[in-house]
Amino acid sequence: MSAGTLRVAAVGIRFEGLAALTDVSLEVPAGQIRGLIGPNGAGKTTLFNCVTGFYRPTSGQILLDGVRIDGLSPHEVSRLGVSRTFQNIRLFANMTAIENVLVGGHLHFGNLPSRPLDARRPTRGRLLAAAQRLPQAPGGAVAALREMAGAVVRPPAVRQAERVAIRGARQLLTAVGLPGRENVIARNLPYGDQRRLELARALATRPRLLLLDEPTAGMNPQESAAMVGLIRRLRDEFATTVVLIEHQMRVVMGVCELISVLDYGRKISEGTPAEVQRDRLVVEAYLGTRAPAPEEQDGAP
Amino acid sequence: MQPLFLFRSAEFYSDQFVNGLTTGSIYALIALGYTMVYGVLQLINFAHGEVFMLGAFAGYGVLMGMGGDDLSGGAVALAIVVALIAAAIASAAVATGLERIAYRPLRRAPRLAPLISAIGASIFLSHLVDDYFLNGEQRFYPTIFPTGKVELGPVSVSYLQLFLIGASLAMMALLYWLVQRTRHGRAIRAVAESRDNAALMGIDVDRAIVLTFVLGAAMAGFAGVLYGLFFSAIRGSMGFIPGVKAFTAAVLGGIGSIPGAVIGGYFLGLTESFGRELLNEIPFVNLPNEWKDVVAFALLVLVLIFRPTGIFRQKEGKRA
Repeated sequence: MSAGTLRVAAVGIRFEGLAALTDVSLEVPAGQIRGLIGPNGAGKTTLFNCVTGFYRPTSGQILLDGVRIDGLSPHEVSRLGVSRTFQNIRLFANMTAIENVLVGGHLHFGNLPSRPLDARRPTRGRLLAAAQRLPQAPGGAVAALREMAGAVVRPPAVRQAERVAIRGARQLLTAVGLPGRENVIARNLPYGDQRRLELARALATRPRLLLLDEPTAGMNPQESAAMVGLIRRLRDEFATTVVLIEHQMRVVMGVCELISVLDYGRKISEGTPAEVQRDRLVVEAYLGTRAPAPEEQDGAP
Repeated sequence: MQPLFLFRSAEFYSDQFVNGLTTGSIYALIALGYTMVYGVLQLINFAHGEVFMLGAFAGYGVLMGMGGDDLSGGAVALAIVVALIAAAIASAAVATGLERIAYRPLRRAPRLAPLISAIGASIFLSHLVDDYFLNGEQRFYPTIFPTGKVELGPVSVSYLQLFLIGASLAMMALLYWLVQRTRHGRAIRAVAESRDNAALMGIDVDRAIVLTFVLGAAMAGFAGVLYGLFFSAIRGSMGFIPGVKAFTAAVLGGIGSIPGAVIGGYFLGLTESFGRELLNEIPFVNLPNEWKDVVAFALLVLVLIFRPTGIFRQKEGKRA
């Protein structure tokens, strides 16, 4: 898949009166690494949850390469090419490393009958939509059963597909720097390796858009630097757009081409790292509004 | 008067052992459905015994349709294979319907709600068959399986028992392999670990859940036919006791664990078979056969009190 332009248009979401996001608009061009920063509770992860389909925005639209994805269910969004990692790593802890990646590649195993992905389901008239899909349902079940039968009989095509999937998974593990760790149970991997594995799993879904939620959380400076290099390399290698939430300024400034700043659910600033650093609103959001203090000098570092 | 339990013949022990394996196979097959559904939904599907019962009836229908008692020779083998497949399909269809009607609408409800819904579905199905279709009568599987036994020293196993145990083990191996090694099996395990996470990987969670019900129900359907071939009499309420026992087996093995359900099933079968004989050791009391149920349920109570995660605590990695 190519491209991967994300457009967030005036998105708002309210949770019982609490406005978690208000009128947020972003335009991330294909292939960019965009930083998303803001104080705790600014709505960064909420925005990720909207883009991945876990939340349905109460207003606005989200488009991936011009196709609306807000209102789709998470697995449908994933199928359209959006993948993410989590601030607190969420691997399939009891599966091996390679199994985690294989689950990520779930959709791309062999030559699946690719169902046409019509973009948006109507939010209303869901009963009607369900009724319309009903004739396809047995077909889906039959296809699944036929595939399981194939898994039992193992005709050459299935074996070939398995080999391809496993080879692909191994390549991904190597790409993120985990060669040879494929049979380790995920929860037994060291912390940094778990982060890498989560990246490999996210890439296995072949995303056009990769959302990284604090990829360097809990890492020391050297590990963070290595992660920054990895993110940049993976973006080039897999031709994906990257949006990342980050708190470590060194990382944000080092890897992001453009930065958007959220505060209290609104976008308050956007620009290059240097521009954002100079933005008064951003400084205030992080440090609070300063009462003018006579002894402080302007331009102090 | 038989000699005391500890001093009986080798034949006695081997007979009890084979009997234990026979009932244990059936418990294990049914227990797989409980444990898999629990693994993905944390739901005890109490209508699973009825899924087993309907599988038995589907197999009965096929066997009677293909000639019933008149079957002989190679036709018997063919009929049994067709009956097994038909039972698996019928059970899977029923379980899919249950999931859609009785469980899915309640997936976000408090955990007690789907449990009650399951019990309701169970009562409905068993009474539907007993009271509506059969008017309280039983049906009897045709006795078509070749009689005769294999004798090996003190061990004697009837052909039917051999078939039952062998077929069960083969199906369980197949299931295990499907879950561990195929794409869809991986999807089921991913959903069992984290539904949200699986969805994020592009897995259709609803479909994976349906597939879980289908696989568990297919095992129960197989068990239904094997039960019918072995015990002959079938009725609408036949699913209750094996269902509760299979649930016990799943709990014994650590619910959520596939190998645990198998081990728990055989453990329960063997314990029942030997335990009943031990109970008969109580002097001056002649206990009827049903006391084996007491053994099973006493075991369930003890496990729930002392080892609620199962007596064979499983490594996390083996969960469904």
